[in-house]
Amino acid sequence: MASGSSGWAATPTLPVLVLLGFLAFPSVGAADAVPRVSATQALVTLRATHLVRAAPSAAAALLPPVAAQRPITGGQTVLPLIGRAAGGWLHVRLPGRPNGATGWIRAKATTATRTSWHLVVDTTRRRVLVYEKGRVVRSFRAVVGKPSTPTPLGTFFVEEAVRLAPGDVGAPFALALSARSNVLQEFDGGPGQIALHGLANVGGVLGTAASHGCIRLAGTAMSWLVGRIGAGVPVTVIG
Amino acid sequence: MTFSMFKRPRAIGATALCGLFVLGLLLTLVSGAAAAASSVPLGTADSFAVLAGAGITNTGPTTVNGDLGTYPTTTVVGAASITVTGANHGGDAVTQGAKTDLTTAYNTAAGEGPTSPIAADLGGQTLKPGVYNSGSSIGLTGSLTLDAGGDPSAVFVLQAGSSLTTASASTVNLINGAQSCNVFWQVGSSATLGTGSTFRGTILALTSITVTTGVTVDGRVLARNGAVTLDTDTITRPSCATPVATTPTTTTAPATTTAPTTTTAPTTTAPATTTAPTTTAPAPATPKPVRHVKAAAAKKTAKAAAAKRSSVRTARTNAGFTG
Repeated sequence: MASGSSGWAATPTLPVLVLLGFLAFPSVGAADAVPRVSATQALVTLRATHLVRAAPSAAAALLPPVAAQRPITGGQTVLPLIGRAAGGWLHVRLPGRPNGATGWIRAKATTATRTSWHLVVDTTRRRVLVYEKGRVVRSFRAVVGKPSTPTPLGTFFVEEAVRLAPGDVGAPFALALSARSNVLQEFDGGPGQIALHGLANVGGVLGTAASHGCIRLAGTAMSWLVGRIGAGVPVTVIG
Repeated sequence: MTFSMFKRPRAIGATALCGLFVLGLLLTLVSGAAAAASSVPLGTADSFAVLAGAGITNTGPTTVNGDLGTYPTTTVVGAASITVTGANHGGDAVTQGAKTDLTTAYNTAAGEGPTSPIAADLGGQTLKPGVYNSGSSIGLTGSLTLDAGGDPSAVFVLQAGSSLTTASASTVNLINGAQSCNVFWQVGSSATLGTGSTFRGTILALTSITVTTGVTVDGRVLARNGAVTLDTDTITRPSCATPVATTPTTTTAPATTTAPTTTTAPTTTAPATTTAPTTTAPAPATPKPVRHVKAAAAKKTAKAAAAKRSSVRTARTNAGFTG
């Protein structure tokens, strides 16, 4: 963590943040300000596979269904809840392509939860800001996507917190995101999925733009993150 | 029609017998059995397991047991990860001919009838042979059972006015002699097969077909105008087992036709893609036991434990992040 964290970890350097921390995201202030995010985010945990509709109606077009388990770890699917409609419809963010997709699911077979965590990836500053209850509590230097394979911008969420084997690319941990590369339709047998992960077996200099789209952090930073950040936590990538 | 019979009790003979036949047929239809379906001739598309109009995109190791082709867009992305046990025709003349025959087959399937209506979600249902129609989309959550009633030549045609979408881990089961080669899904727009599902039958889609991760298809995915997207799947072109009664002289009895009462599981194995490092992964930084530590440290540890609700889990398969 020492190699990746910085003075941003201490809030005194961010007085503006304290005042604005409970305001809604996204909003970026002056050059030295940090983005503001909501204090908490409503989530829904799926207890069964859900059909997804384009609108809150049984007659609306079907989108690809969302399984109750995630493909890498088998962990439960947790989606950010962004709205509701009459008839027990929930408006949720969806994993995968197209980036930033949303859809409507039935409230049945879901469990409502809430998170006070939020990650912001600033690809210009090449940093990951960690928010708790709307306030930055940590900042890590990161390797972000290079110009030819940029980290996609937008509003995403953590699909899975993954423990990797020592020999795996990006060990020791990864936070697999709902985002997919806009350039690489596939990569290393995967669907071009974007993740925050470690530097093991892949390398890179923190604070540079050199990755294929993923956000690489020091192993200590990843260990700190996976102790706190789980499925469903919002991740906003800004440029 | 029963009222007319009561009004004409003396009407006997051939006319009455004919009327009874028709009545019986109508009662049969009303009781739930669908109109008889005819097999859909695929022409030269028969040998294809995957056929597309706007290219094929594959991710991960996929096995295609049958021919593969795409035309007029001939692009196959991720071809190196596809194992084709048939012929990869790309966009050659064979594929072009198959595309023409696919159009004919699609129109044939769409024109079959009379049809019986079906629910928007087929999960939990058991269908007899026949032609079934949904004016809009068809979904499948859970399992659908197709019951041939002991007739291995029984045909099932399912028509969707728009999309076909199956949920993750959903299954199409075949019982009492039903065969994948006799199941046809005519899809008015696009089809999406959910993660880890098991699907049986030939999909004839007007637009695209998306086969998500880890799907086993005992059938064909044939897209007229759109793309076919694959992801670590196994697609096996079905072949009808020859009924024993029609081949009395052969010494190589077709085994599958003698056991029509069981579900015909696909013969291929699940895609062997997972190399789960379940035993080699390091343990995460777990909170220390609270017992026997100072109060401040205990409080800190408890806070860390509470924070640790992220429930990081070991990867069961290759993550394949972009890196």
